[in-house]
Amino acid sequence: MSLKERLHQLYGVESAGSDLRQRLEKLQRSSHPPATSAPFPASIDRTDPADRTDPSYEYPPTIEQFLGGCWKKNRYGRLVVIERNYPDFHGIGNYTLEETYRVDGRKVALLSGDPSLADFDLQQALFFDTETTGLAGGAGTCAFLIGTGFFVGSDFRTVQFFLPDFESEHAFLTEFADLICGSADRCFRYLVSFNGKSFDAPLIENRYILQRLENPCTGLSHLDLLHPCRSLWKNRIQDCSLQSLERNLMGHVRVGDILSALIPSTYFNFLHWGEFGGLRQVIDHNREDVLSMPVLLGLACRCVEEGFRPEEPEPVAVGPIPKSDSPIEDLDRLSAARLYVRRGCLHQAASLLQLILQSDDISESFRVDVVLELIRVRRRLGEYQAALKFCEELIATCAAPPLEAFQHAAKILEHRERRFEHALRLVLQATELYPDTEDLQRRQKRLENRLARG
Amino acid sequence: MGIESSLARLRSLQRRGDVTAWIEIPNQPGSFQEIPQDLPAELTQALKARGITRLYSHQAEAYQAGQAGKNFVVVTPTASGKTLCYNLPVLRSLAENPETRALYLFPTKALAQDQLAELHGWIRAAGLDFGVETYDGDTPSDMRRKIREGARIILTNPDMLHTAVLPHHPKWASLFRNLRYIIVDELHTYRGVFGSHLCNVFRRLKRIAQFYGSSIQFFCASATIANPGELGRKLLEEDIETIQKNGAPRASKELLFYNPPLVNPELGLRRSAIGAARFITELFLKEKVQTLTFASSRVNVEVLLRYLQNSLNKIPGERPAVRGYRGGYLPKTRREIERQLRDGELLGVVSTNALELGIDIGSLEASVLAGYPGSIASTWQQIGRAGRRKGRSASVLVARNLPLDQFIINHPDYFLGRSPEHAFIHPDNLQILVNHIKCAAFELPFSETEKFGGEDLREILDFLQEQGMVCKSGDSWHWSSEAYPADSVSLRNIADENFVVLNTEDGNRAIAEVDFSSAPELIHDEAIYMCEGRQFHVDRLDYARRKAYVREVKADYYTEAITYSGLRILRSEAREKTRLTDSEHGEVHLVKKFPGYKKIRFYTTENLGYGKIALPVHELHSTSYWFSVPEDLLSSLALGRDEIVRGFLGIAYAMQYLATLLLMCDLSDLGRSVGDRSTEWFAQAGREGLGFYSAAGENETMTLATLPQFEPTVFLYDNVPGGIGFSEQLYGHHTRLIRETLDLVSKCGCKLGCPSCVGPVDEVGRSAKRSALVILRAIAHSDLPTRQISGG
Repeated sequence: MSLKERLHQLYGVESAGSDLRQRLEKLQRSSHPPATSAPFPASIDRTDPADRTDPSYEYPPTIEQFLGGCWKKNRYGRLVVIERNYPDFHGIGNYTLEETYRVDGRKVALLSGDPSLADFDLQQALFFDTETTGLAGGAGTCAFLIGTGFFVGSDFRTVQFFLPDFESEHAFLTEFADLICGSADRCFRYLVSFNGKSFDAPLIENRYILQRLENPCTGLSHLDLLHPCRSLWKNRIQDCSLQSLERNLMGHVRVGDILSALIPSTYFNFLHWGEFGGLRQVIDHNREDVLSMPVLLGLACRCVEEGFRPEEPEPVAVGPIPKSDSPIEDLDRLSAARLYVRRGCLHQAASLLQLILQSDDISESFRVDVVLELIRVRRRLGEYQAALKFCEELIATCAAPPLEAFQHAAKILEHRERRFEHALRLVLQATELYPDTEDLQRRQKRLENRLARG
Repeated sequence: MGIESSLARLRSLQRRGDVTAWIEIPNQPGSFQEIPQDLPAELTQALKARGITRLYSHQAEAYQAGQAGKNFVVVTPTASGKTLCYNLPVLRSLAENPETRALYLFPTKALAQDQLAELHGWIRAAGLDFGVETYDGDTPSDMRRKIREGARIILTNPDMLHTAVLPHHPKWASLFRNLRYIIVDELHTYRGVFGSHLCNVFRRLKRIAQFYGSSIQFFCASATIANPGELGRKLLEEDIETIQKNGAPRASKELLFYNPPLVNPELGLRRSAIGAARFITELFLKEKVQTLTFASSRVNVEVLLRYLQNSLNKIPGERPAVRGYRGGYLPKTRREIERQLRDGELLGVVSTNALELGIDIGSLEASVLAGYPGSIASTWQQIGRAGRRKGRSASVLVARNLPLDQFIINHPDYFLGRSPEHAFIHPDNLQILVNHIKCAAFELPFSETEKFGGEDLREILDFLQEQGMVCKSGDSWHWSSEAYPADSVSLRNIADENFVVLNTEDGNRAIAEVDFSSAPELIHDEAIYMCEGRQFHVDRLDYARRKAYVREVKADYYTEAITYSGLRILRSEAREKTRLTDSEHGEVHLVKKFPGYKKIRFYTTENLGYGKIALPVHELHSTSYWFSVPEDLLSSLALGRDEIVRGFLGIAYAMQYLATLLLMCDLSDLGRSVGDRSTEWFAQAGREGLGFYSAAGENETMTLATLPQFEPTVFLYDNVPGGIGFSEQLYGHHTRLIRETLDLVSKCGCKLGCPSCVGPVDEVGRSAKRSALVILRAIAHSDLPTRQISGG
C-alpha cells in the first residue's frame, strides 16, 4: 500500500463503496474539520488590481475591493489595509466619541491602578483589538486581523490590517510596527485594549518572536479596559464583556454581527477555499470593537469624576448631579467609591459616598451598603466620631441592622473611646439578633472581663 | 552476623531442592580516577564536602565525553553514582557560562522531585546561585513565568514537554536560545509506544532549538538493557557514546532463585509466592538484616506487610519495624522512609516496583522479589537495591505460578547471560508520526526542504492539507485549524479514544483510563476490573461515550474475555522456508470479535462459568509474525488433526509469553491467533471443544472435518494500530522462540498442561501439551535454511 493509501486507511478517508456509517462515526469523533473531496482551489483571486491587464475580461471582485480596503505593499510583501475616519460626533448607542473629552491621566491612573499611565494622553494612545485563528494560544495561533484606532485631531481613525495569507505575515507585522513607531510626527506611547493584556498582547509578542522581529509594543504602557470596567459595572451589569457593555451601558445593539466563535473558521474558509464572503462581517465586527473602546473609556472616566474637584486640595462635596442625563447610576458610584478605596483615595471615597446618600430615591438595602462602606472609610481615615454616628444611625433606624454596624461601633467604643459599658450593651443587643456569633461572644467576654476588673 | 546466619538458614531450603540456582556474584573492586583538574574550584569543593575525593571510572568517562561535546548514555546499576555523571558536566558549564540553561527529563513527576532535592544539595554545597525548579502540572501558575524566564535548570517530564512547552515555545524563547543540555534519565523506560512518541517529541524539540539557534548535547542514563546505545541512537537520532563499565566497588552478593514446591501436579499448582516471600523475608528480618521486599501489586504489598508486621511481635506504640511504600506517596513521605532506611531506623520495607527507580536509599543487605518483575532489567534493578560496599548482601527471586516466572526460575543461565531484552521503538508508526507532524506544524511551519521522520513529509502534509489542518502558503505549510493538536495526542498510547472508568460509589469519579484496544477485554459489561489491587465490577459499559461505570466488589473470581481474532494478510515483508518451518512477517488486517467472557476462580483457576458480551468488532491494521509447519513434516508426526490444532494452540499460548519476555513489552502489546496459513479459518479452544471461525466475520460453523485446507499457523501480532515493530523482531528470533517454547513446555512440572505452559487444560484440552511437545521437538532442531524467500 502506498503512503497515500495508508493515510487514507488510517483516517477513514475511503473511496466509494466503504461503510458510510463507519466513516461518519469516525469523523464525528475526530476533533478536526471533516475531510472533503474538493481539491485545494487553485483560483483564489488575490491578485493586485495592478496585475489585471486584460481590459475585456470581467475580473471578479478582488478581496481588497470586497473588504473596502486596498493593497499595501512594503519591502516584505503585501497585505490589505482598511481605513475609516470618524468625526467626534459619531454616535455609538446613546453616546458619541465626544465622551473621550473627559479622559485624562489622573482618571486613567486611578481606573487602572497603574502609575505608568499617569501621563495618559489620548492623542498618543493606540486602541487595538485582534482577530485570531483560535483561542488556544501557542505558536500555532496567529492574528489575521489587527484593528487599530487613534485620534487625529478630533477625528478618530481606524486602520485595520488584514493578513491575506500566511506568507505575508512578515509584511503584516512590519506594517503594524511602522504604525506604532515608524512615523516621525506620530509617536504612540499607550496601548488601549479590552482584555488585551492577557490575550492580544501576548499573542502579538509570540508572532513577532516567530517572525524574528522586534515587538513594537514593548515600550508602550498598556491600559486594559476589562479590569476597570469590571470594577465599575460588575455590580450592575453582571456580564462585563465588551458586547454586553455596549448593549447595557451604551445602549448600542449590533445588527448582523458575526458570532465570535465563528470567526476562525471564516478565515480558514477563506484560506482553504478562497471564500471571502464571510470576511466582511469579521472586518466590521473588529472595527466596531475598536470604536466602542474610546466611548467606554470616556464613560469610565465619568465614573471617577464625581467626588473630586481636582483644583481643590481638600475635596468638596458637590451638589446632587441631575440624574436624568447621566449614564452613571448610584450602583456605579458605589463601585467607584470602592475603587477609590482600593487606590488609597479615601477622602474622595468618603465624599462620593456622602454624595450618594444625598439622593432621595435609593433603596433601603442599598443605603445600608453605602453607609457601611462609609463607616469603613471613616474608620480608616481615623474619623471615629463620624463613623460611630453612622453606626448608631443604622442601628437605630434599620429594621434589621447589619452585624457589621454593631461590630464597628463596638470596636470604636471599646478601643478608641473606652466606653466599655456602652460597648457591652451594643454587643448584647447584637447577640439577640445574631446569636451564636463567635466574634460577638469573644467580644462580650472580653468586655465583661474589663468591666469586672474595673 | 545477621546476613551470614540468614544465608546459612537458606542453605537448608536449597537442600530441599526448591532453590533452582544459588549464584555467588563476586566482589568488584572500584575503578577510580582523579577529580579532573579543570573542574572549577567550587565544584571540587562541593565534591569534597560530600565525601567524594575520587571519581568512579564511569563518572570520569562521562565527564570527558561531556567536555568533548559528545552525547552519551551511562549504563550502570543503581547506587553507582549515575546522576553525578550528568550533573557534573552540566554544573560546570552552567557555572562558567551565566546564560546557559539545561533541561532534565524524567518519566514521572516523582522522580523529578527526587532529583530536585539532589541538585539543590549540590548547588548549595558548591555555593552556587542558580534557579533549579520542576515544571509540571503541579507548578503554581504564578511561578511558571519566573521559571520559564529565570530557572537555569528545569526538571520536567515528556508529557509536559509535549503539551505545555513545545507548543508554547515563544514563551520559552529565553530557554531555547540558551539551551545547551538535555538530560534524559531512565532512558530504558522510553521503549515501545512511549518511546516512539518521545522520539517524535525530540524531533520537534530539535526543530525548535534550531529555530532559536541552539545546538544541544544529550546526556542519558539507562538501566541495563541489551541495547542502550542503539536505543539512544534511535531515540535521539544522533551519535551517542555508550559508557557501560561500572567503576563503583561492590562487595560480593548471593543470588538465589526459589521456586515454591508443587502441591498439585495434576493441575500444576504450586505454593504461593507471597507465602514463600514472607517466609524468606522473616528469615532475614529476624536476624536484623535490613531487607527490601518487592511485590507485584499494591494489594500484595498490603498483604505481605500485614503478615510481616504481625509476625514481628510489634509492641503497641512502638515505631513499626516494617513499612509499606508505593508510588503516589508524597515526596515528604518518601524522604522520610528513605531517611529511615539510611539511618537504620527501619528494618524492612515492602514495596511495589516504585522503589526500583529513584535516588539512593543507602545500601540494604537483602532484597526479596515476590514474583518475577516482568523484565530482566527490572529484576536486576530490584536485586541491585541490596548491595553494599563492604559485607555480603543477598537477593532472592521467588517465582509465581505464571509462565514467565516459571521460565526464568528454571533457566537461571538465561537470566544471567547477557540481557536478552532489547528495547525497541517504532517512531515512524504512521499514526504516531502523523500526530506529531501536526503538533510540529502547529509549532513552526514546515518548509519545502525539511525532513521529519522516515516517511515522505510532503505527501503527509498534502494529505493534512486535504483535511483542512494545514495550508500551504508560499513555500511553507502552516497550521490552519482552531484545534490544538497536542491535546489529542497522549504519549502513552496510540489512539486518543481512551475509555474512562468511573466509580459509581464515589460520585462517578474516574479511577482509571483504558485504551481503546484493551477496552473490550478489560471493561466489558460484567467484567471484574482490577485497579490498584481492588476489584471493580463493571455494571455498564457505555461504548459510544467511552465510559465504564463500576462498583467495588470483593469477588473470589476474576474475568477473562474471550477474543476471537482473525486476520487477513495484506503484505509480506520477509519469509523463510526451511525443512522444519515456514516463517514470515508482514502487514495484516485484524478483526477481533468479543463473544463472551469466562469467570475464573482465584488460585484454583477453576472455570466458574461464561457470560455473553455484545460489543462491536475491532478492526485494525497492524503487523504480524507467523509460522507454520510443512505438510510432509506435520503428517509424519502421527497426530490427528484435532491434536495438531490443540498443539498449535498450546504453542501459541506459551510463545506469546516468551515473546513478551524477549521484546520487553507487556502481554497486552501482543495478540495471538491460530489459524490456517491461507487465513480461511481460525481456531478457538473452549469447554465445548474446538471451534472454527472465519476472519471475515460471518457466523459460519466450520468443523474440523469441513475445513477447506489444513496448514495450521501460529500468528503473533502487534496489538497496536500500524504495528510497533515487534513482528519484525520476533521473525528475526524465530528459531530461538521455538527452542525456548520447547524448553518451557518440556520443563513444566504439570502432567497434561497448565496456565504456566500451554494453557488451562479444561480449555486447550488434555492432548495439547503432549501434541505441543511432539511438534516442538520436531521443529526445534537447529538447521540451515534450504530456501529463503524475501517478501515485498
